[in-house]
Amino acid sequence: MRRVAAALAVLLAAGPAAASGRPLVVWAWERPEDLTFLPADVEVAAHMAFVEVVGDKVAARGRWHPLRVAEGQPTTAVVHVQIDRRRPLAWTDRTTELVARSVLNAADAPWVRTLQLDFEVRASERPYLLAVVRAVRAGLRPGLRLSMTALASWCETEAWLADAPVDEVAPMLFRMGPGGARIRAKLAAGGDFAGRHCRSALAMATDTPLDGAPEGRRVYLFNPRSWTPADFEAARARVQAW
Amino acid sequence: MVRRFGAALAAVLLVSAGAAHASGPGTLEPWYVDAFGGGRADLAKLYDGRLGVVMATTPKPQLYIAWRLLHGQKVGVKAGEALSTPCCDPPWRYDYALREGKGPEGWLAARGSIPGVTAISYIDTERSGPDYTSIPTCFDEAFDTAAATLNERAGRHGAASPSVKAWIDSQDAVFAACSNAVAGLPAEPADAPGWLKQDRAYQAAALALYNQNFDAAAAGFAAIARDRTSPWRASASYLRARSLARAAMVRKSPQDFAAARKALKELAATPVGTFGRGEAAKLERALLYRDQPAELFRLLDKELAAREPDPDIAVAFRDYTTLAAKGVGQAEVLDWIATMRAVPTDAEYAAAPETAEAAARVRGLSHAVERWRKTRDDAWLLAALSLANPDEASAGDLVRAAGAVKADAPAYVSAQYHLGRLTLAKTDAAASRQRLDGLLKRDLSVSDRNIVTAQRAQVAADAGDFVTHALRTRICAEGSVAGGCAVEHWRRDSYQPGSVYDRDGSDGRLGFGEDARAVIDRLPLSARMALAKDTRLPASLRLDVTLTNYARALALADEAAILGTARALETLLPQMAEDLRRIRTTPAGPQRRFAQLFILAKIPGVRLDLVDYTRPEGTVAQFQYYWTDWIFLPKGKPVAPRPPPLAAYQAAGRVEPDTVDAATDLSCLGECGKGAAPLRSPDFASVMSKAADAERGYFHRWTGTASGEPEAPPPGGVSAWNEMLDFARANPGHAQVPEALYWLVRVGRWGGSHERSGKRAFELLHARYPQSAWAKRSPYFYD
Repeated sequence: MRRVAAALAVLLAAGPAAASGRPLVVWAWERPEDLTFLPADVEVAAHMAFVEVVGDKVAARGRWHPLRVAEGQPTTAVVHVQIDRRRPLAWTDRTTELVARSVLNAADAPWVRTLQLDFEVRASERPYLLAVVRAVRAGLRPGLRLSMTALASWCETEAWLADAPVDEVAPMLFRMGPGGARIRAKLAAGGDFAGRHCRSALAMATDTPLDGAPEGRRVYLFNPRSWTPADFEAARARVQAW
Repeated sequence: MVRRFGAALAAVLLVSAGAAHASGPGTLEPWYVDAFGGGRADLAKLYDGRLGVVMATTPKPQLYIAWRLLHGQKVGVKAGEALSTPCCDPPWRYDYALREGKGPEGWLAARGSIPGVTAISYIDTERSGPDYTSIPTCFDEAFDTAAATLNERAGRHGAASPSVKAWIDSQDAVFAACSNAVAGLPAEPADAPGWLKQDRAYQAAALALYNQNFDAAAAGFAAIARDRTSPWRASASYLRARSLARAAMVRKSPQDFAAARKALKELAATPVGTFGRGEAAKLERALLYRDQPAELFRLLDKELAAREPDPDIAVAFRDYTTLAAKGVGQAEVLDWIATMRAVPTDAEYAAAPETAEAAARVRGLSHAVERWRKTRDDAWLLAALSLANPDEASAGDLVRAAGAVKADAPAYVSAQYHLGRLTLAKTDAAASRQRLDGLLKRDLSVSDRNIVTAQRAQVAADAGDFVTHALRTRICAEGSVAGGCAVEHWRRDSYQPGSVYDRDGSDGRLGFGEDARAVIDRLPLSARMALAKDTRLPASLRLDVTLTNYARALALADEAAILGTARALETLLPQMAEDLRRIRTTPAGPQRRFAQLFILAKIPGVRLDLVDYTRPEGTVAQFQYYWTDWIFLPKGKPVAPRPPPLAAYQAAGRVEPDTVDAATDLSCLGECGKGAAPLRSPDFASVMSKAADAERGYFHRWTGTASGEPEAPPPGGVSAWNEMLDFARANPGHAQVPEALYWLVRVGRWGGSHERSGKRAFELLHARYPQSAWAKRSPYFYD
C-alpha cells in the first residue's frame, strides 16, 4: 500500500515535463552542478555520499562539489557504494553495518524523500548488496522511499533482485556492454523488462540515446558531464518523443 | 584531539579535488596498456626522464610529468611520485595496512576497551556545507591522537578512573562536533586533577575549532602556548595560527587575513623543529589562493617553469590548474592537456550529442596543428599526432615530422607509435617491420612494449612471425599494490579480465593481445589449427584456440579437423580426456556424431571465436559461462558472413559496442588518443581472407532478437540439441545418454535452449531413467 501511495504522490506532482507520463529526475553526480535552469516539475537526485569498501574497511564521505538548485527540487539522495577491486574483499557483518550506516547518514537531511543506493556488484557479491539493502530498509526513517540502481541485465535474466526490499529499481540503460543494444531495442519495440520489480523506473544517459521505453515510470537522466540547459532540453525532448 | 591534522586539512583548505566518480558498474580495465605509467620499475624510469608513449587518458598531473620531460625539465622520484598520486593525499592513505586500527575505527576500539562507557559504533566526520556539500572536519590523525592519549591516560590513572571517564565524555563532545555544532564540553568535575584540566583546555580549543568559533579556538591555543607545563604546548602556536588562517578563509575580511599572516609570520620565525613550522608557507599560499589569486598564479607559473621540481609540485600544479579553471590565468601546459584529451564542449554536446566526440577531435586537431606549426614544439606535435586519423589532410605533414623526431628526443617513442598508427595500413610491411624491430630493441616500459608489439604483429611476415609477436605481457601481474603501480591510486572500482592469461582465473603473465585475437578469429580453420600447434604459445592459450577450432570443425562438418582437434584436446583439457577419446575410438556414424556433440553439451563456454569464448577451468562442474544454441548449417547453404565487430575485442577499452571497425583501436585500446588506429590484417592472413570468409558463411552466431526471443534458425539449420535428443530416443541403451540428457537440462537452465530442449531432455530422462543418478541430479527443468 505504501508503494502505491508513493507512486501516486509522484504522479500527482508531475507537471509539463512529465506530460508523457514519465516524471523526470535529473541525476546530479559528484561534480559541480548548476541546475537552477531546471523546470520546477523536474526532480533532482543528488549524489550525496560515496562509500568505498576496501578489504574489510569502509571509507565514506559526503558530496564535495557544489550543487546549485532551487529549493525543494532535490528529492532523492543518491549514495554510490563501490568495492575496491585491487584488494581481496573481506566482507563481514560489521561491513554491512558500516556501509548501511554510511548510506543512511545521507538520508538525514530533511529534504530527502527518497534514498537511492547505487551499488554494482559481481554475481558472488549479491548477498552483500541484499544485506545492505535490508539493513538500510530496516534503519530508514518512516515515510522515505528506498530506490536502487541496477544493471539492466539484472532486470532481464536474473531473479535475485526481486528479493531486494526496495520501493523502486532503476535499471541503467547505458554503459551496458555487448547485450545493451538488444535490451534497448526491445524497449523501443514496446517490450519491457522481464523482471516485474524493474517496471517503475529506468535510467538513460544523454550520450546513449534510447529510442523508446514504457510509459508511467520515473526516468532518471544521467549526464557524463556537468548539466547544461541544452543537455537537459535534448534529453527531455527525447523522452517526450517516446 | 587535532594534533597532526595539518597535512590532511591542507587538502581541503585550498580546493576539494575529489574525482567525479561515474555511475555504473566497475569498469573492465585493459590489462596490457596502462595510462598510469605501469609498475615501480617503469615509473622509476619515467621519473628519471625516459618518456614513453604519452597517452591522452593519463591523469593530468602525470601528463604534466610528460610535459616537463618534453621541455627539458627534471622530475625525479619525489615529484614523480607526488604527481602520480591524486593530489594531495599522503601515500599512506592508499596503504590500508598502515591504517589498521587507526582513524575512527581505532578510536572506537580504544574507547570500547574502557569499561562502562556508552557504546558508539559510528562517527560521522563531516559537516554539511553550502550547496549540498559535505566538508571533512575530523581526520584520521585526530582520532589516532585521541586513541593514543586515552591509552596513555588509562594506563597511568586506571581505566576505571572517574577522571578518565570524564576525559572520554569531553572527547565524545569534541568528535560529535565533527558533524554538528556542540554547545560545549560537559561540566568539569569538581575534583578534576591537573592533567585533566590541561587536557580539557586542549579539548575545548579543538571543539571551538570544529565549531568554527575561530576566535575562541585561537585564544584557547594561545593560552595553552603560555602554559609551560601543558603537554599540548608544543603544538599550540601552530594550531593558533591555523585557527586564525581558517577564520580568514571563512570570513574573508582584511582584518582576519592580516591577523592570520601575522601569526604565520611568527610561526615561520620559530626555531627549526618547532611543531608546524613547515606548514606556515603552505598556509600562506592557502591565504593567497583566497585573497590574491592572481599573485598566487604568477608565483606558481614561475615555480612550475623551473628546471628543478619544487618539493610541493603536486600541490602547486593542482592549485595552478584550479586557478586557471577559474579564469585567473592562462597556462600553455593546461591548454596542451585539454587538447590531448579533446573533451567535447557544451556547445558541441548541445549541437549533437552523438557526434560531439568526433567534433571535439577535429577541433582539437586543428588547434594542435596550429600550435605545432607556430611553436615547432614536440609536445604539440604529439598532441596533433594523437588526434589525427590516417586519412586526415594534415596527416602527411605530421607523419613526416614524426619521422624526423630524433631517437634521443623525449618525444621519440610517442612519435614512432603514432607514425606506425598513421602509416601501418599503407606502408610496405617489410619497412614497418624493420622500423618496429628497431623500436623494440629499446628499453621500453611493459605497456609501451605491448603497444609496439601489437603494431609489429599486424605486419608479421608469416604465421610464425605472427606468433612471435602475438603475446603481451600483463601490466602489474603481481598485483597493483605489490607492483607499485600508480593505477592503484586512481582506479579503485575497476577490474581486469580473468581466464585470458597463461594460467587459470586471474593468474598468469602472458596472453594474446586483443589485436592478435581479432586476427586469429579471422583466419581459416587450417591456419588456426597450425597456430594451435605452435608450442611457443602457452598451453592454456593453445587450449583456447583449439577448442574454438573444434567448434569450427563441427560447423564446417570437417571430420578430419574434428578428429585432429579432439585428439589435441585430450592433452590440453585432461578433465575431458575420456569424453574426447571416445570420439576417435568410436566408428564413424551416429554414435561418433553423438560423442562429438556431447562435448558441446558439457562445456558451456565453447564458441566459434576467441572474442566470446570462455575457457573451461577447474573440474567439469566448475566450468563457467552459459551455453549457446548450437545451429549447424548444411553444406552449400552458407549465410552472410558476420565476423565479430572489432569493438567487441576492445571491450575493455574506450569504445561503444556499436563502434565501426575503422574507429577502433586494438593496439593502444583507445588510451593513446582519439585518432583512429584501424587494425591492419597481416599479409599472411589477408591472403587467406577469402577462405576464412567462405568458412564464416557456415558459422551461425546466435545473438537473439529485439523481443528477447531466440531468433529463427537460418534455412536448413540443424540444432545440435535436437540431434542429441533424436539420438537419445533412438538409442536408449547407449551408456552416455542419461548423462547427455542431464547436460541438456543444464543447457536449458543456463541459456542456449532450443525449442525447450531442456524440458524435452528432462521428460525423457525421468521417463526412461528415473532411477539413474543423472535423473536424481535433475529435479527440475528451466525452459
